[in-house]
Amino acid sequence: MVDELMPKVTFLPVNKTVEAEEGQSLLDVAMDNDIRLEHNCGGNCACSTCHVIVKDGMEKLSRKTEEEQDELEEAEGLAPTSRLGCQSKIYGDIIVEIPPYRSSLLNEDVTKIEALIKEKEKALNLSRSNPASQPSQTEGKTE
Amino acid sequence: MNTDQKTYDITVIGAGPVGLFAAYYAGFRDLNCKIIDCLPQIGGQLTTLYPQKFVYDVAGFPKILATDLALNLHKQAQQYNPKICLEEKVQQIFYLEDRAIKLTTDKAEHFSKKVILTAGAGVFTPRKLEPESAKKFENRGLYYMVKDTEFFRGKKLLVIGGGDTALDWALHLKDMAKGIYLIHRSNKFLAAASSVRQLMNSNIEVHTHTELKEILGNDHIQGAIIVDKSVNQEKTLDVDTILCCIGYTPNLGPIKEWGLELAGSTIKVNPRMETNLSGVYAAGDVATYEGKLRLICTGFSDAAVAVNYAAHSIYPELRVFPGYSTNVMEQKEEEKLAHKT
Ligand SMILES: Cc1cc2nc3c(=O)[nH]c(=O)nc-3n(C[C@H](O)[C@H](O)[C@H](O)COP(=O)(O)OP(=O)(O)OC[C@H]3O[C@@H](n4cnc5c(N)ncnc54)[C@H](O)[C@@H]3O)c2cc1C
Ligand code: FES
Repeated sequence: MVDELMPKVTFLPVNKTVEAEEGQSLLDVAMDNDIRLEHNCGGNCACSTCHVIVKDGMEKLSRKTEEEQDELEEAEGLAPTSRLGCQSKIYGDIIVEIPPYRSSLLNEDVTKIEALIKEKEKALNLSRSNPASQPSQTEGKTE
Repeated sequence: MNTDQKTYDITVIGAGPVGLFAAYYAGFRDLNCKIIDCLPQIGGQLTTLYPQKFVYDVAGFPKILATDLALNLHKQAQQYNPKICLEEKVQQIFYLEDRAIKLTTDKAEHFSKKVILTAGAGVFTPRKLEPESAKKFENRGLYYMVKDTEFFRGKKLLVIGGGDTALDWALHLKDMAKGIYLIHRSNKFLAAASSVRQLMNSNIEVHTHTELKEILGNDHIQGAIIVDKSVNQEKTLDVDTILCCIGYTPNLGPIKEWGLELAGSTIKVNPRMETNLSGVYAAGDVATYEGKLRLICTGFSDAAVAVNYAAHSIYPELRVFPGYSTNVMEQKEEEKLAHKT
């Protein structure tokens, strides 16, 4: 059942939309829905690992404090609409992106590497059966 | 109001890693030193935010537990017996006629010649509970910090929170309390996985997806109504004490009003770690300058720079450059021996 009144949060790049309670922090929402968002300092505005980039609905979040801004400045890939997930409370529908580094990148790397290995094996088999052909391009696409 | 009439050479504000090292360094430079922190324990972020994590980038330690780093820093400073004042929040600064500085806290007045601000991100203020009934019981059964663990002995305790602080305290107090519950509003814990495992295997009654709705009682707590949000079911717990650890928000607080030149909530310093206020230095996370990185190792360096310049400024006969501790300490030992004979 979709509750019309509950704010909806979309997390990118996983593209998962979930419902949140008004006043919940983005970090709490992510945790509740098994979306991986780092939080080294336990949500206390002291580490910037919960960095997210707001793609839409910036005004639906609680105001940014100076403390949050200072901490944010240490975040990798800082953007004008960057926020700390643990400090931003939700008051409406929003779309946020978890920057593509750290844990998410690690997971991606694994799939990338697996794909690479498969392609290499394929190429190897091909070149074995047909010594004239060149191994295909292995970089790039992960699908 | 308590007043310590002694004028110290240096007062360090903040007993985080950088403040503790500044206190050591003051002793090494033969300065007497006082250190003030608003928390009930030393260590700053090390002990408040990540006591059970390992730190890998402190020179000389391939790997060290944050709590142990704080203890070692304390031990190093302790060689010179700095005066340590805990649970005191520094509020105002006054310049006295004899060029001494007076600091006021919520409990006392302190005098010194120089001040070093190592306030980190500021005062960690606990986040408070929302229910109206919570205000009434604050410090009368409802606590946001642990000052003395003995206080909780024999109590029927409810711990609120799912982070490291909540779990660490619940696990620590579980055998002292007469009964113990823990509620957390999610079923995902922010705390370290090992602590969650320990919690789940302990005698603590854990309710997830659960929030506090109301505290019962008139002048003391007689129970707590909790709601399991997943099924919207209420339950009354038989408790007389509540410990709420739902996180902190850091805030530089009253120091922001001193007239310091700020960049956000950090303080601008020159290469000698002097702020724009006379006699006031800053070091560690709270200090900022071109190229600053907020790390423990850079904080240690800031502290050494601040103390060396402060030493020379208080006692012009003391050189800024401290000499090498290897030589200096040897000389001091020899002087001591000569004194005895
Ligand atoms: C999860 C996490 C992991 C980290 N890991 C590392 C790491 O691996 N390596 C690394 O180098 N750094 C790490 N850091 C950063 C490191 O903890 C900080 O750089 C360091 O704690 C800064 O020390 P400090 O002494 O300047 O400030 P803090 O540790 O913040 O201490 C400041 C102290 O000042 C007190 N205070 C503030 N205002 C007042 C006032 N008005 N009156 C009285 N007392 C006051 C506070 O209570 C506090 O105790 C990490 C941080 C976090 C959150
Ligand atoms: S979790 Fe550390 S700043 Fe948000």
